[in-house]
Amino acid sequence: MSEALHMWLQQASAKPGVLACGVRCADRSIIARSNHEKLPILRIQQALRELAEAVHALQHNHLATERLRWKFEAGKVCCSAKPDGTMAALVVSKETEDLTECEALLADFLNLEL
Amino acid sequence: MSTPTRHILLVDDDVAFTGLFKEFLLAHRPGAWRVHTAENYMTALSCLKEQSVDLVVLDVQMPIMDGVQFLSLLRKSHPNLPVIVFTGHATAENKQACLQNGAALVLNKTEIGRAFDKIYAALESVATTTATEGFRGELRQVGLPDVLQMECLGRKSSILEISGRDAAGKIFIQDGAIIHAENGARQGEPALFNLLGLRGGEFRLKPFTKPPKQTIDGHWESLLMEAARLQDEAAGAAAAAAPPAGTAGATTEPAAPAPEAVERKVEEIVLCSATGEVLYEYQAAAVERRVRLLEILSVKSAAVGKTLFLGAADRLENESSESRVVALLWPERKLFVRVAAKWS
Repeated sequence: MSEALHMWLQQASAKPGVLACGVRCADRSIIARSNHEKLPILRIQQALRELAEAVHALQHNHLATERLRWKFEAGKVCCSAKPDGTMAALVVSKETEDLTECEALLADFLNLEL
Repeated sequence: MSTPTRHILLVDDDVAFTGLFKEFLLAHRPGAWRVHTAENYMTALSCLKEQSVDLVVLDVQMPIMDGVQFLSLLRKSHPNLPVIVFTGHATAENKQACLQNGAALVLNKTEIGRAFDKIYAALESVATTTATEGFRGELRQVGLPDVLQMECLGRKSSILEISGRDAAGKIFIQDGAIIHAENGARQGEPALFNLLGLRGGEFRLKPFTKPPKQTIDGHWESLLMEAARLQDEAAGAAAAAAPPAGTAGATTEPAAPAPEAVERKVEEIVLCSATGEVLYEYQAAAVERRVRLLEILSVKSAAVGKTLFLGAADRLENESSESRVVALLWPERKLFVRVAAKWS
C-alpha cells in the first residue's frame, strides 16, 4: 500500500461521522478501515465489492462516477471512482448532515497517485 | 328536483340472472336507471369505452378470465368507478380477494329474490357516493411526495389540501399532472416547494375543480426531485448557520456569498414499476438499458444496505460538472432522472 493511500485512509477514518471507509484498487484488492464494532473489515470489503459492481454499471451507461451518494434508511455511503475501477467509499452515519468534508476527501482521492 | 338517471353495467354470462336483476331494478324505481349488460369481460370493457357508467355490477365467476383479475384491471383503468360483486360462492376468502381488488361490496346472488330492498339500498348508496366526501389521511411515515406520487401515477384529478403547523395550501392535480399550487400569497412552484417542505400535518384529497390559472407545467417527477433537493439544501444551510457551542454573545460574521446560480434542465426521465414495466419515459434514448441499470442499482444497493446494517436504500445521487443523476430505488417504483447542469 502506498504511503499516500495509507495517509488518505487515516484521514478518512478520522473524520467525524465516518463509520468505515475503504478503497478498491485497480487490481481489485480492497483495503478497509472501520470505526464501528458492528462493521468488521470483512463486511466493508464485501460492501465495496457490491458498490464496485454498481459503479461499473453506471460507467457502462456512460454516467460519470466522480461524486456518488447513496442514501439509506440508517446512513449514507459516499463514493467516487476512476474509470480504471479504482474506487473509494465512506460509510457515514445518518446524523451527519453536511457531507462537504467527505466529498472533499473523495475529490482528493481522485487526484491521488496510487 | 328529479334525480338524474344513472347508468349501470351488469356483467354476467347468466342471461336469466341479468334479466331478473334488470326487472327488479327497473320495477323498484322506474326511470332511475339505464341498464347496460355484457355477457363477458371483454364486452364489458368495450361498453365502458363507449359509455360512461355510474356503477358496475359484476359476477366474478365467469369463464376465460378470473373475475378478481378483471376487478384489478378495472381498478387500474377506471379507478373512480364503483364496482359491486355478485357471486353465488361468497366464501370469506373470495370476499376478501374481491374487496382487496377494489370491490365496494360483495353480495350473494341467492339473496336477490328475498332481500332486494336491502340490495337496492346498497346499490344506490355505492353509486351515489360522490368524491366530494374526500379523504382524510394522517401522515404517519407517509410524506406528501408519496401522496402526490400516488395521485400522479394513477393519473388522477384532485385537489390536495394541506394544513401544517406553520402553513396551509392546496396542490391541484389534473390527469396526473401537477398544474397549480397555492400557499398563502405564494402560487406556482414556490407554493408547491414550500408545502412539500412541511414536516407534518394533515391532508385531504378533494374532487378536482379548475384552478383560477395554471401556474405549473413541469413534470411531476422533476418537481418532486427539485423539492427534495431544496429541502436537502435548506437542511444543510440550517446546520451550517447554527452557531458553534460557547459563542453566545459573539458578533455574527457576514454571510458567505451565495453560490453561483445554476440553471438545470431535465434531459431524461425513466419511471418503472417493481417488475421493470416502463410507466413513463421522457427523452430516454435507450429505455430498456436504463431499466436494467435501475434493477442493478436496486439489487446492489440492497446488498450494501444489508451488509452494512444501513437498512433499505432510498436513492442514489450522482453529480458531476456535466450532469446530475438521481435514481430513486423504492421497492414499488424506480425512477431515473438526469438533469444537465449549466452554470449561469
